Parts: sequence; C-alpha cells; structure tokens
Amino acid sequence: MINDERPNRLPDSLPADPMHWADAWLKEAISTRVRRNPDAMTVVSVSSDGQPSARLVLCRKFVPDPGYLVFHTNYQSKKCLDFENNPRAAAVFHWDTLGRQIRIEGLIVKSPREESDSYFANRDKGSQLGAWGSDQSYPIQSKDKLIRQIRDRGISMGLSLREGTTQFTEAPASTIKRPPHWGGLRLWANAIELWIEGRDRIHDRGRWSRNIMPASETEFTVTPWSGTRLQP
Amino acid sequence: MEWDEAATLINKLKISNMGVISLFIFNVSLTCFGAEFVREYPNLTVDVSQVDETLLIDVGGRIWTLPNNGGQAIQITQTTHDLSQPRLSRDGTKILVNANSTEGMTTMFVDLATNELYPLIATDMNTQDAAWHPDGERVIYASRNHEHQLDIWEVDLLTGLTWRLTNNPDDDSSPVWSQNGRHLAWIRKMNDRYSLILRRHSEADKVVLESDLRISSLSWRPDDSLISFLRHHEKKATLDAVILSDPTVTKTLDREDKFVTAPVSWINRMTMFYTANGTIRSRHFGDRNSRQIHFRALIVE
Repeated sequence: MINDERPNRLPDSLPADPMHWADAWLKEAISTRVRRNPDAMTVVSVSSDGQPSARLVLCRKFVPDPGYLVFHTNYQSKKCLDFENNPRAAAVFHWDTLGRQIRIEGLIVKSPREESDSYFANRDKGSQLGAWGSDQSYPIQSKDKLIRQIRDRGISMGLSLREGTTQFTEAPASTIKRPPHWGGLRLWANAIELWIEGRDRIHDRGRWSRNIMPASETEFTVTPWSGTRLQP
Repeated sequence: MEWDEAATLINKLKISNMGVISLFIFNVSLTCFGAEFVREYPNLTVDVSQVDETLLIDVGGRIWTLPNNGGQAIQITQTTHDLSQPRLSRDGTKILVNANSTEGMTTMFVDLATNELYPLIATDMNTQDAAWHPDGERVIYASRNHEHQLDIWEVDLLTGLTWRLTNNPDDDSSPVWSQNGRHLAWIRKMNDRYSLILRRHSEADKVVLESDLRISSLSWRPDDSLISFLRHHEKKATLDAVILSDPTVTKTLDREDKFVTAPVSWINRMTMFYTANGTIRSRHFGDRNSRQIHFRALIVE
C-alpha cells in the first residue's frame, strides 16, 4: 500500500548528497517503528569463487558524511571470510509500508577497535555472552549442545548462569569484554540508489556514484556524488 | 559601579559596531539611550548547555547565555524576530526558539555558527512544542491537522523531510525523546482528560499517568529514570514526576515556586534548572527548596 502522506518522488533536481536522504529515511523508519527491526538490511557478500550469499543484519550506525554504515558480526563468519577475499558488498533496506528502498554498494573494512568496544559494551549481557559462546556459521549437532557450549564458556568466564540455560542468575559483577573475533564492519558507499514506490509501478529511482580511495585501514577519501534519475 | 560594568559589557558586545550607540553614551544615562539592566523578566525560560553547562535564557525577545552559577548575561542572537523559549541542541551548535513576528508565532532555529535564523519546516504547517532529538539533527514537534487536532511530527533538518509519529482523533502534544533517543513521551488530551504516553523502543504505547488537571512541559531526567512535568492546578502549577519503575510512581517535586510553563532543564541527574516568578531557579533533586540564580542582562534597544 502506498502511503499518500509522503512525496511519491525525489526532488526534480536530485539531492547533491543522497546519503543524507538515506539517513533521514532510516530515521523515519526507526521513529515511526515501521516494523520490529526497522534498521534491518540485507547484506550480500560474494565468495572467492563468485557465489553470492545474502543475510539480514542490523544497521547500527549510519554516517552520511563521509558516507558509510556499520553492522556487527563474528569476524569468523561466512560473510567475513567472503569479505577477506572480496571486500565488495551490497546492502538493501526495504520499508514496504513507507514505499521506499535504499540500495548501497561499496567496500567493507573492519571498524576501529574503539568503535566495536563501545558498541559491545552497550549490548545486553545475554547478547555479550552469545558473542563468546557461538562459533558463528560453524556446524553443531543440536540446539541443546549449543546452549551447553554457551553455558560452559560463560561459566569458564566466571559468570553465574541458571541450570540448563544461558540466563544469568545475577547481573555479572564485572564487564564482559568484547571477543577479539567479534566487531563492527563498515560498508563505505561508492554507489547508492533511492527508490520510491509509485502507482502502477511507475516508481521513482535516483542512482548516485562516486569514487572512494583508501586513506587508512578504516577510512577512505571520497569524491563528490554524481547522480542520475533512472527509469523504473 | 554599574556604569563601569555597562561600559565593559557594551565593549564586549561590540554594540558600537551595530551603529546603535557609541562610546560617548557612557557620560549620559543608559536609559536615555534605551539601555536597561534587567534582573528578572516575565515568562523567563531557561535551558542548560550539555556542552559547557552554561545557561540560555530569553530576555527582551533575545537569547542570552550566562554561567550556571549566575552573573552577567551575554546576548547571543541578533535578529529582528522576538525570540523566546530557547532549547539548545546537545552539540551546542543550534538553538530552537519560538519566533514572534508580524506574521505570527512560529518555531525557528538559530545556527550559532552563522547567527542565521531558519524556519523549522519549509511549509506553512503550524508547529508547537518543538524539542531536539539527542542526535541534534532532528526536531520533534506537534502540529494541527485539517481536523484541528494535534499530531506529533518529526523533521530532519538537513534534508527538510518530515514524518508523522502519531495519528489519532485526540490531541497529542509536548513530545520529548529520552536522552538515549530510544524512548518517546508525549501528552495526549482526550475529552478534557490528560494522559502521559510512553513509547519505549520496540514496545507498545503505554499510558503512564492520567490526570483531570492539565499537564505540560515534559522533561526526561538524564538517566532516563523519570519524566518531570508541570501539573496545572486552579491557581498554580506543581512540578511533578513519574518515576519509570514497575509499577510507576508519581510524586510532587516542588509545590512552592510559581512556575513558568516550560520544561525544566537538567544539568545532570541530580540538578535541574527552571524559571519561576521571572527568576532562574536551581534545585537539587533531593532538596525541598530551590535557590535563585542571580543574573543581569543589559538590554539595548
């Protein structure tokens, strides 16, 4: 269903910096709670043999200027193995009730350690334990075995957990440090498309691109965006 | 003594550069030249900076800053608009204000880097009760719809994009984001009854307080543990708070001061600033009494 309250087109003269528009759309989706996880996006990686794979992750930070977004993961996961071989990635946000979609393409780098530490420190304790207890994307025989593995690792860290569960009997006295194999990934955008749903499938699309050049392990220098309108 | 202070202050303010007055005025009465020291002001409101803990106040249609322990106020806006109710963004770069002009009252913001005044939204939609999102990039406000009911909206200042957060037959007003930007509180008026609504992140809207008396001026404590508000009795308002425990607890924080209808401003989780009887007051959370923060502002017409 198209929401008639919102403009059904991009400005005739496309915005010079589309990342600010994408940021505003994401803020609207979060503020208006269009769904339970409004910041969920599909991220696509490509393996060294050219096989793409997609999964949903949560976009925890969107930085329109200079233009990257951040999500967090286990650095030993399948997607991170893909990114080690091929740092190119694509991401898609789609909010059906808003009639909007954002597509972003670019390069993946690890977040600075401090950024990952800061985010991890603010996660709830259960999620912090989960990051230590799960070897993401590796096989395990059963859910019960997974629970036991998480429990065993939690107890070995001195945590007090309820019998047979991963729930804390009391709040951990000390902080749980971020596992070295877990942290943020930054997707630096070199292309972005904003899509607004239109009646009779006459959608409005704007696509922008720019060059990004590595400046350090986590930063890029960027050229200005160049945009064009596309037919639906 | 005040002549010397005035001279010093006027030099600081570079008022002579404005072509309004020049140095010879120090030999004659300030009042003759439309200059006046003010220590109280009707409907004075105050906000506290999260950056350097200075205070912002509105005196004579201008916005001023002063230390949080009082003293000389320095004028920081130069505009023909009559400005009131300053609310500083968390990064200290912009001030939301009510701007009164011949065309009526509207919400604007001052970019402190340029001292330029901008309308909050580009359309002629009416706006009231504007408050910052903690990110400093968004402003939440109430606006009347075609049926003359108030809804809550939000605007992204960089793009000018706006969106509606509530849409129902009642009046929704006074929206405020929690300090962590994850929870939203506002007042709903339905059939002359007032409710304080809380929309926690990922949870359904919840009524945390109902009142037959008007309530206004919501403000989150910095640790997001309670929401303070004014409850308007027949003759005066009390400063009350809903403690967001489970179940919630409502208590009166202050029933002595004659409050101006504006949110209190917290400098930290234990100390708040507000205005009453045209003066600035500061109050420790656990104290029964407030103390006056003395100030002087030199208004030059």
